[in-house]
Amino acid sequence: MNQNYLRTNPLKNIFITIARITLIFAICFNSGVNYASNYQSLDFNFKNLTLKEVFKLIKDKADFDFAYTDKNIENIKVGHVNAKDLNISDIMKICLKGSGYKFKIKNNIVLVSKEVPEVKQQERYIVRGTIVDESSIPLEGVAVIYQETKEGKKLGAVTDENGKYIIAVPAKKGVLKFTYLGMTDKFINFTGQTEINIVLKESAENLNAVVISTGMQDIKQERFTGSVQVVKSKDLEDLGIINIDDALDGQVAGLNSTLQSGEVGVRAQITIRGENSLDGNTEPLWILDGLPMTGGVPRASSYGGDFAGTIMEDGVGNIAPEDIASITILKDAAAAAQYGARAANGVIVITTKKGYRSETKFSYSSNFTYNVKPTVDLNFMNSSEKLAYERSILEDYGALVYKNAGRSGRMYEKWANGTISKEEYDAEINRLSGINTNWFDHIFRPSYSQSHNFGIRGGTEKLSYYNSISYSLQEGILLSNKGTNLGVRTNLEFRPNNKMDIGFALSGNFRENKNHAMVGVDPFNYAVFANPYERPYNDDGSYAPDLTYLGNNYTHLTPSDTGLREHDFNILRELSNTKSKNNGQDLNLTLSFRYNLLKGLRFTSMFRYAYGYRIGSRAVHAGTATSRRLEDFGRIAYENKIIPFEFDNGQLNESAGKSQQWSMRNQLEYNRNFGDHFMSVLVASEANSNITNNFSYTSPIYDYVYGNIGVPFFEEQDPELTYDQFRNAIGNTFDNSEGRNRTASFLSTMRYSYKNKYVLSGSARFDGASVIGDNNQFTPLWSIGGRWNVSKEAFWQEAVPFINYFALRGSFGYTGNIDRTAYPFSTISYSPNTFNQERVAENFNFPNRSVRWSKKRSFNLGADLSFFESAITLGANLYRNRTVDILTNLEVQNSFGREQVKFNGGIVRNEGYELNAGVRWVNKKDLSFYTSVNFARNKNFIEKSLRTLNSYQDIVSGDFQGAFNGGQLNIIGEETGSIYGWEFAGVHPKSGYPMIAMSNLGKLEYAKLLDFWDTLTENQQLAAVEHGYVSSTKGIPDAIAVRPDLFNASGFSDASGETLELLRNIKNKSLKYLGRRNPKWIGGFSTTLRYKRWSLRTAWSFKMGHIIRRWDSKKNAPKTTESGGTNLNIKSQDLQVSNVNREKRYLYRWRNTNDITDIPGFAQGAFTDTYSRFHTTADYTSGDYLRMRSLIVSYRLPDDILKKLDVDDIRISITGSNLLTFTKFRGLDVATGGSFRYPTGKRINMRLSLGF
Amino acid sequence: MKKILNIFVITLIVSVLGSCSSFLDQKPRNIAIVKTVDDYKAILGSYMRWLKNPAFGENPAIKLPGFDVSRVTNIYSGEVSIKQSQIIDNNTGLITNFADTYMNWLSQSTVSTWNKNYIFTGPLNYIIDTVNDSEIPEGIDVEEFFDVANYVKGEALVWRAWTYYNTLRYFAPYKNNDLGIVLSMHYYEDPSEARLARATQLESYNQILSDLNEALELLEETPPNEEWNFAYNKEHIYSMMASIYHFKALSGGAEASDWGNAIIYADMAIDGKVLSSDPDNLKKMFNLNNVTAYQDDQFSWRVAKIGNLTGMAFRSAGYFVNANGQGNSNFAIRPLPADVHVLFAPNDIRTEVYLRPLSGGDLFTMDKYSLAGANRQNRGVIVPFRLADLYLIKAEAMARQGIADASGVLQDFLNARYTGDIPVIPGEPEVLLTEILRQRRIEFFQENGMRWLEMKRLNLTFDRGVIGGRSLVLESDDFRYAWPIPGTELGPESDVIQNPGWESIISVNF
Repeated sequence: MNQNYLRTNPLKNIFITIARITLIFAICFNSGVNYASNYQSLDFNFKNLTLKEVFKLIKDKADFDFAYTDKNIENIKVGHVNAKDLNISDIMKICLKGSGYKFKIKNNIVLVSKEVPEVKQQERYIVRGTIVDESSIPLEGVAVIYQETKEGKKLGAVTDENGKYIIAVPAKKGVLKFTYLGMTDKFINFTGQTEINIVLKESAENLNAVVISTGMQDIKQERFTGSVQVVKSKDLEDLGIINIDDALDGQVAGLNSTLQSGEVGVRAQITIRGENSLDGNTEPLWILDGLPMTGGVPRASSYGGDFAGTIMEDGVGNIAPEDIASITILKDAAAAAQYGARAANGVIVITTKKGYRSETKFSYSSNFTYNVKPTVDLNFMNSSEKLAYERSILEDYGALVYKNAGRSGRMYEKWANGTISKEEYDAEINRLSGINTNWFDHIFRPSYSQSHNFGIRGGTEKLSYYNSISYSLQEGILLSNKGTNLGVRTNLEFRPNNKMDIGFALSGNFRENKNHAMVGVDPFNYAVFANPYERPYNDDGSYAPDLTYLGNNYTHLTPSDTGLREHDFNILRELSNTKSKNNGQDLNLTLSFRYNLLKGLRFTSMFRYAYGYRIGSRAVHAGTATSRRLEDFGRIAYENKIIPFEFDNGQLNESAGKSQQWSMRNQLEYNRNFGDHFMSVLVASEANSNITNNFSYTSPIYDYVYGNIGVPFFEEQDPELTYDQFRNAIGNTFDNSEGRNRTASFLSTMRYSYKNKYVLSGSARFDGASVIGDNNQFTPLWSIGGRWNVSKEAFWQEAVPFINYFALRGSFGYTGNIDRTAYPFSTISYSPNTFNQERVAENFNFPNRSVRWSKKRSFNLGADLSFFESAITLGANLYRNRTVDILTNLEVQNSFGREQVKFNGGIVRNEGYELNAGVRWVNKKDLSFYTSVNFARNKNFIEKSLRTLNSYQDIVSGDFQGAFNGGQLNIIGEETGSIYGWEFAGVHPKSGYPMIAMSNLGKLEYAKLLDFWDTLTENQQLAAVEHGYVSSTKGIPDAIAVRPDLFNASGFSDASGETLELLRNIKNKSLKYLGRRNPKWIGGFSTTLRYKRWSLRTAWSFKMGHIIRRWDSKKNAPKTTESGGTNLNIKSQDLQVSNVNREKRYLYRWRNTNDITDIPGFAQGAFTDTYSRFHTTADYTSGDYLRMRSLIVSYRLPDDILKKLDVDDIRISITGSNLLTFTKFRGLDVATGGSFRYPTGKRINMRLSLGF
Repeated sequence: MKKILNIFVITLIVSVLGSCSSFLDQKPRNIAIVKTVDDYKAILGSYMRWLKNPAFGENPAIKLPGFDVSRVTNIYSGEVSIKQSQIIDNNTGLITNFADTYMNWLSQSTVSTWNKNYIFTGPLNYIIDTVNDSEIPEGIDVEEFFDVANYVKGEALVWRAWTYYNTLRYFAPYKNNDLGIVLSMHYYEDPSEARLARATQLESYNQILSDLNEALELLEETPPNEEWNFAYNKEHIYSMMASIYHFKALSGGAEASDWGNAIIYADMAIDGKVLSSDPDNLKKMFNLNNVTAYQDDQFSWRVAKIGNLTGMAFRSAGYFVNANGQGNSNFAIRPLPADVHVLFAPNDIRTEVYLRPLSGGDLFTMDKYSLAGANRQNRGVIVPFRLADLYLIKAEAMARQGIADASGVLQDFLNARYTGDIPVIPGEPEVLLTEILRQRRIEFFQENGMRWLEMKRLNLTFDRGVIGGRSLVLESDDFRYAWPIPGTELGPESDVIQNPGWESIISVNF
């Protein structure tokens, strides 16, 4: 083993301990067999002596002493002995033969003692072996059952994860049975073999025997009426996954997983079967080992409202992928309705590994990951191009853009003012063009991560156990980002008798995440947009200031609170001198108790308590822009003035939060066969409670060297400043909150099957929540389902024998959802202030009496087939869901007396189908090839929108009399996420204005404009032609130019009002559907090739049929005039973003009459560039992509090597993640929707796993 | 064993089933449910505290109405003079964005006044709707309960009327009776239960007056709690009613009785009080260093705000605006516009109170609020319905009806404002009216919105001349006299319609 590795490995101690134990065993064993002997030769000849005399004789002749406790020995007679050249041992053997005594020689002393009659031990025959499937894959959990006779006692063992078993058999006869779900049973007559290796074959018959775990019940698949998909631990192995939810991408039909960010610890957003909410909350319910997942602490409010479920808050991130036995996704009502009111977004059931009856098995796996440093190919300008671009803007717009044209603009201004000479100006421009900084190289790094998991597993009849320790150290590609996680898990199952089963599970998790705490500047945005002529360091190695990224070098966004001036912003200083750290600890205890009351009647009680604690800190050093931006106290004292630099004091924020949650379920389950009839009934009650507390404080001074904190001192304070003015600032430095909620539920499910051919199921559930008013506190939800196992019919087997399995399913039912922040009563919080000795309120909330549970009605039809002895399997599902009373935070007209209202608003209908197929192309012992594919089509229709009307149709039809810029609209009858806009039709060569294609309706309006033509003045006519909105008075063109300030007509233009109206109508009526935001088709496929001990797997995922916002520097760049610019005449978009770097294509913008280009001329003037707010085809691009999520090569070491190493299994695999993406989108990451976030990078992972 | 277990199981199930209703009866922490009349009082009480202690920085529980419009109206009315460089860009010679919006009466920032006013009235609606159904807190009897409920409700009623009256004045096209304001009279839990539309101006006035009449009825039952109440008093309500009839009388919602009512309520509000001729009294009224005095003979209430904390509701009424639309510390040196300066006669006590001479010249600057030289622009004072206003309303109403006493009322007013020779009181009714209106312009100079609303009421034309190649003229009856309705009000889900002229300027927000 590599020494280096040991030194850095936190599991070092464990290894050393194990090594020591091994060593101690070895020493003991050796000393046990290392006996001494004496080869001294003796000659004897005597007759009829007692032993006493013999001993004396020997004593005289040789140097031996005799020791015995039994005096009778002395009287034993020895017959005739004639011994020559014998050693003492032989002589003693002769003497003691038949005497009933034995001897032992040690250090020249002969010990004689009575011989204890040997108890005849029952013979036990140890049988070992390995069980694999037809592809030589070891099978875990195969039951090995021995029976001597048919009525005899059963003995059992289970294979471990390497397919190995060991069983002690009492007789050299009887039968060993090997049985595994989905495989044909195998029987072996036992005749004393020591090793039995078995290859189990898949059986079509037994496919039905697959058991689905809903988290509450284990149900045979042939009796399951719902739509589910199961992902086994085998499918997750080697994927090099970091999070479970990430692993589900492309694996499950109808599950859309979008990783929001590549930051360490951030989770993916999961949508099952389309969006059924209008505000984007699609998070499914997670069930861990039978109870809703708990754990995690929400962030203190001072940390801001991040996307729900990020770094610390979620329990899902606390589960090591190695600990997972299976993940079951419940998709329709029949499957999920037993989870009722929280199941509308689907349910994901996670089962962790358990122990089994076997000798103790150890497993160890480690992952080493290399994360590739991100690069982008956005085609940005280099230094000389950017300077040329800045120059071209200065030429066109002159003094207007001095402050918007980067460093050139500033220099130009100085030159124009006479502060510097032409030579100095040229020299500076020359110097700058010689610098070409690649900011990605300075801000990002390739990073390395590692994780280790060590497991101990085993058990006896009475007790089985699974214990694991996992550790991971992840480095982000951003310099400052790092996370560590240490988790332990213990699953114990105790079976005191065959009726009772007690489970105990304890898991703990300790994690730490570190990052920078920079405020106001996003490092990815900076890396893309910072000018290449800015530098990270000066020649002397000090931080070089960036004078262009932060606009006019103000830290603050509006000049009204000017604050500290910023002349030396440097991103690397920010990254290293601002630090955020989050530590989280979670403890999770689950107790379960199962008792078989009667035959078939079982009582189960489960209880879980989870405790989570989080500590966070944000330390900002003085001298950073963040420190100046966060300064709150100086701003009060120096109202409207530049705050002196001594108030650049740093800041420390510390926060802590804890959560205590418990849930409990008691259930009675009755399962019974009555001849051909099978009946199953379950009744249960469930309760959950959750309390969270958070507090934080912020110190406006933080000295990171000495750790001092405090409040600033004001030497020259304004005499009018009062205590009250500071009170708010002081009050803002403290924060605390508490949240609590409870739910109680009652549920029942029933299942009936006849001959296992026809199945009927039903469930009902009542959920109550603490926050809902009495009127709507409980909601009844129910489901029914049916199944017909067609291939079990006799006629089927005769008619289509090549289809060995065929089942039809159908279900209908309701699930629900609730928002816990809406109270049915009006609330206030009391302020610490008083008025007339009475307390006053500081917060008022309207009541939400009408808030109800939102309900989802689901309808699902499904079929499962397999052909040719299961070489081909097919599954299909068709669904139609309707979610009513969707609760949303609706922004309302302020004339309702409020800005927003919680409201059971919309109705959304989801329709779609899902297909999955698997084909086993080759299936031989040494070679197999398997492919699987899944595919889902999903449509989400709005039946009732946020607003109650369907007159949005007016906008689309162009009848709407108002300004509309296009974008996403919720239109009744149309799909969610539909985007409307105009078709871009090039740039008008004369005016440089962008052009949009006219629809037929738009052309009709154009004709009206022509009718109106003669009433216009000559100047107006001339302007209309020059600006390109009337290209000919003879015919009707296909496209019309959009004059930036005219189409939404803000202000008075040279054309008459009537013309404006007509132009607006042309625009409105030419509106068209551009596409949808949500992918139409999602899916994935995988290929698995195995040759002997090698395997090659690929996993792909794709999303198709949606459009995403084209990545454009104009839309994504920081707007510099907002951050302190003073020249308000420049408000149009392009000029606003010209301080920072831009895409190369803007070098080719329209500048002069008759320029042919597709980049419109830059708008300028008093009014904002309205065109840049329009949504056109030029702004969108297809979001289709196909990504190779992983490419895995793995190798299992051959048995002879394993035997030499004395381990059961060694597997090595190398995984490449996200190596290939095919897409038309040019931008950071097509999978994150092109938004500006920490991208998910490529990574290479090496994994080693051992079993011993 | 088995038996014990069975009992255990059954007990467990029963206990969970049985305790369910109380289990779910969990109320949120840190939050109180509005139940008793004291809770209602605490909601409005935070606002009363803010009104009476203007130095306090914290926000009341309900968001403040759009008190401050002076930033817009003083530029709209031409009452402040602006640096040339902030009107014309020195580099290009073009009109600046600032001038193009503010000086051209096209600022879209006015929509925030609408939004603030309505967000303020939502909680008032809740109080008015439900305070009488609240619980009686421990320790008070039924009678006391009704007293508290009445004066809390009364206060809310007056504030709702005041807010709607202001919304109506700024947002309704003056002569178009069809376009009043949205009368949102309830707290809407479910916005689909109502579809809001604009009432006519007459309906709007009637609603505002009916709120005030209801408050007057409550006053018959329960007198104001002097310590607590602010606007809930007869004098204030009468003053507001006089102002309402005065503004209504020339509007699209006018009725024949308006002038008469204006006289009646002005008289009831004046109630024999005499205008003070002491310049110190006027000075005190506007002096922001004297923040605690909020009630006086000369005005029924004033709202003042100093400091620049989060609760800031309005900026200084005498506002100087730079190109960013922000307060500028060198405002004191901006001279008054010449046409304004001529209004102030040397023997007018207001010349001394309102103006301050600039060193080395004939130029004067505004210093009505004693702010010159101080670095405290973000403070302000609003003194609506002053005694002076009541005198001038009464005089105008009488003059318009041809009542001879009008000149007598004006005389009383002039006597209080001029030392030595008072201006000649014209005999001709029309010239008399002109003098009354001229006095209004002087008296309310740079006061929050007063001049702007007067221009609207009198349907004036305001020509700024040609600036940066643009002719900036506000025609009489110009559409820009009515501020635009916010785009958020106008979606297809609403029946609210935009004021004519603004349709293509304000984008509809979805």
